[in-house]
Amino acid sequence: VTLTAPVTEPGPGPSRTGARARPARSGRLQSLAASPSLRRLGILVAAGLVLAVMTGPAGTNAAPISGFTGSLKFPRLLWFLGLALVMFAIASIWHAFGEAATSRASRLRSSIVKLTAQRKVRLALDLAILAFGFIWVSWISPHDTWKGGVCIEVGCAFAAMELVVYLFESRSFRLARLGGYALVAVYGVLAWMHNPVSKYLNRIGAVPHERTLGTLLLWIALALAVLEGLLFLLAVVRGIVVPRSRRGLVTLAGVVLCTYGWLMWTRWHDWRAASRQSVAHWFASIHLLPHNHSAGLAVLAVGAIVLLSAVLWVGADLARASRRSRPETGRYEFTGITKQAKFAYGRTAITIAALLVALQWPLHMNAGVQSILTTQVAIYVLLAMGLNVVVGFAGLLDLGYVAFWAIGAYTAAYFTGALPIQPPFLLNPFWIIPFAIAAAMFAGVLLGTPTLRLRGDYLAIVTLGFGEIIEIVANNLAGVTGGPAGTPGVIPQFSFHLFSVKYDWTGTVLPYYYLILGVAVIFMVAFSFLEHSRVGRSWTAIREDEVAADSVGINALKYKVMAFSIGASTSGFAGVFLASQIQSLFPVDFVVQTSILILVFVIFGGMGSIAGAVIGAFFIQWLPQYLQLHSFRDYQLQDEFIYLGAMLVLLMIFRPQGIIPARRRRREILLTEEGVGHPESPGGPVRVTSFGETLPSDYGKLSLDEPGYVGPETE
Amino acid sequence: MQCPSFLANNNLWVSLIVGGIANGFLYALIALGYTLVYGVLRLINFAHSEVFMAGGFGGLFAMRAILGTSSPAGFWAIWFMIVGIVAGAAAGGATAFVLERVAYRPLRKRNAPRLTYLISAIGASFFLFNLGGKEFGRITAFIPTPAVVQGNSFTLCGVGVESVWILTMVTALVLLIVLDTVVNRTKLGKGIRAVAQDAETASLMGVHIDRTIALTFVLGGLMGGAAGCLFGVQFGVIYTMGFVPGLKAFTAAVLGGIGNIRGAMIGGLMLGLVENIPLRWMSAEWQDVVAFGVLVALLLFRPTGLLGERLGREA
Repeated sequence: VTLTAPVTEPGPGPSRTGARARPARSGRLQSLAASPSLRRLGILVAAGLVLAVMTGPAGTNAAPISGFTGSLKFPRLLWFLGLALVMFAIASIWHAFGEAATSRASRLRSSIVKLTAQRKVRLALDLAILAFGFIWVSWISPHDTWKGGVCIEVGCAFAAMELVVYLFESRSFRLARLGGYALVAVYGVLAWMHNPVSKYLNRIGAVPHERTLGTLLLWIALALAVLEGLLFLLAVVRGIVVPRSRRGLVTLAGVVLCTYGWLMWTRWHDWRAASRQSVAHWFASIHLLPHNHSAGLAVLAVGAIVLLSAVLWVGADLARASRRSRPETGRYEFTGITKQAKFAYGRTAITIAALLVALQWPLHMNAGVQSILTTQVAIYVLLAMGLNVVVGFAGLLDLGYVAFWAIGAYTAAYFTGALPIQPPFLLNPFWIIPFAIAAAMFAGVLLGTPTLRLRGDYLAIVTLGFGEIIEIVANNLAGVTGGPAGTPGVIPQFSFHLFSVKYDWTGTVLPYYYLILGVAVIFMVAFSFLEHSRVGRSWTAIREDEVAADSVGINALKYKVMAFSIGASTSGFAGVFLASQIQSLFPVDFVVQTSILILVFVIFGGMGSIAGAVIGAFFIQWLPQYLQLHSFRDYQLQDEFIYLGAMLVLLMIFRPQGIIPARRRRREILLTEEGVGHPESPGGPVRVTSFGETLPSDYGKLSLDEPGYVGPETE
Repeated sequence: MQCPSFLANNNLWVSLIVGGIANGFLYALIALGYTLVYGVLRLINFAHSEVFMAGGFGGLFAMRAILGTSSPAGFWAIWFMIVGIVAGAAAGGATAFVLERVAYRPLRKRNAPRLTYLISAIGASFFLFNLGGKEFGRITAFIPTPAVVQGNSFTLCGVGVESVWILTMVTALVLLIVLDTVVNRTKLGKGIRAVAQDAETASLMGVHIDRTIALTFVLGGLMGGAAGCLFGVQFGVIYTMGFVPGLKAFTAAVLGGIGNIRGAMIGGLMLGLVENIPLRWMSAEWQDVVAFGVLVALLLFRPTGLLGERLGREA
């Protein structure tokens, strides 16, 4: 059995290593980004900073959830820096081997290439750094037994390094890597046998979060070793090679699972105790950052660090994306970073960073802000994502969107028995979610099927009327809805009891926040898949030119109803959250103004852009609340619509594609301004313009070279 | 006055029908704004309800300035009302003019997509009525009216017909006739019809398109503003007053065939009756639901309206 597994990426794929594929025409910045050592140094410094922040000072305010009492001491910071250095050195050595082993020749002949003199020098340098780091660590770290301490530290270093290698390295030398894993595993077992981790950590007087961290890293290393071994076995025995891109995902999933598995394991008792309240509460209790008010700075720091890492990561990927292989010569040609690559990588990185901030943020806020974040921001984010499907993807202007929200909310109120009419059976809001989704979707189909045959502006009016009708009904049908005085009964909060799992979210806010966040992420992924599926393409076609779409066999009505009901069901879903969070419904919550507000989110962010909808909703909902919280001048919440209205007009004049435009949407707008498209389509041009005076201001902005341009030739 | 036999001793019917006709004239006035703009731009002017609101406030301030707390009686006092209506119309016209300049013309110059106009108009609408709320207060204000406009003027089949209804009907009739004349007999009207038919050709024939469109907005704004004042006399003036009448007037415009000027007048009257008559059997809160139900049904079954779309589009 040869240990050289089959080539993971067939064909002349782009190499990430700097020396060989260093582009001839590379700019300075790009070569910097492509330089693996610098990249890694940046990442490691960032990691060290994260660690430093994680051990930041505990605030004086009582933490909302118990758990963290750490302090940042000078030696500890040095300890971590030393650790980072070690990690850096090992990663560099690793890299040198990997580079040597995975050059093109080696991939073709499955043999190891000798190290060049240059690489030898670098290797020596790396070794020196490693030694220095080891000395540093053993000098600084307050352990008493050499064996156990080094075991742990090497294990930690390996684990961290492996993470880095996995995340940032494209091809490493398999054999060496496997050896490394074996080493880690042996060290880990040794450490465990000689000096159980906890005992050792206790002896060195590690504070709890350091223990957490150290043990965590060890566990991750072990898990990775096992994983890599399995993948390797699979490759050798069955000839199945998991592609590198997938492997990254598998590994990431493995790491996450291990982390949470480990946390659950070690905190089993906490978990049992916490689960009586909620899972989310427990999740909140295991977060690794300090939570107090002064920790806003820490949040910012973490956000900045994550962004920095993201930028570095993105830079590396961009450098890779900017090279194109030339099969005929076997060389790489530097092509320059494409716009698409920038967009794709930038978005991924920022999404991850935003998610991390969203996870941590509410923990550092007081209860009032948490409540605002949940009921005033998170729910609206969900709504905006739903409306984005209707307005952004399908191009249907729905001005009665809130009606579906109301339907979802009142469905929840009905089944909890909070309305004057009693349901056949009582349910907790948690179990009503499917009912509410079904009800809203049904309403969407019922309203959509007849009205979606109409042209865009008629649809806007009909939906506006529908929204108004729902509000009037909620106000006047007091025998059913309780009228303007609100629902007579109190809608309970989420709770259920199933076997040993008990939820009871009475009086809490954060669990809702995390649940909505999770749901929002799922929707985000689902909608983005949907956008790029057959359905999404049909929506685009309908939006751009419905007549043409019809003529190529797209059932426009079907897809429009689909978009409408997907939006409606998202809204109904959000309605349950609203009902169970504010516990009593008033028709005034569902005025038509709110529909417009949600429309503003979508348009502000950029129609058809999921990230835009989320950011639009967050920004526009949070900013007024923030201004009010800090009593900015004499800002009044009810004045919001003045500014929002003005903003809509200004946006339409100066930036109709929104702040974070969907590329296709932007192109459509430009095309329309050139007169392309069907006049009856929502995205189509309006017939009357001014002739003979001025040309459209963006005339000529659209180049015919743009891929996919199908419009008429404009000489 | 001789009472038709089927209405004798049936006070409710009479009041519903007369009230419906009076409301219908209001709707007709507002609907004209929608129809005119639709005719030239093929767009629904979402902000027209705020033109209506501006008319209400214009009337309110003019009347307050003139009358203060006094309440002159006698028939000549009707002149005060006319001043108020003119002020309302002026305010409406000015608002519509600004609206066209700010929210429509830049987009027109850029040849923007249809959806963009709708959103821009919605934004303008929200800006205007919330600004009204902030500047003029968020409570209902009542227009001081001469005594002659308050109370019943005469009795019809046992029902008091309010004099404000008469005022509304007369004003609306006059304005409708004036507008019809303007559109059909004057050079401006010919320009409007030409732009509605074929803007490109019209511009070749020497019609100044920008000016024509602006004047179309202003014409609609004058009607809407006057209606706003008349509405304000009856129901008071508040910053949100435009929304529901605006939606109903749009229904009326569709009912008569949007783009069709005489259709809008007839549509307004019909809607006034259609939404009032069911009140025989249901309470007043449901009036709006009836109107919107009519709108939905209409769009489903006959989106071209009863008289068909016109003002330029053939057939």
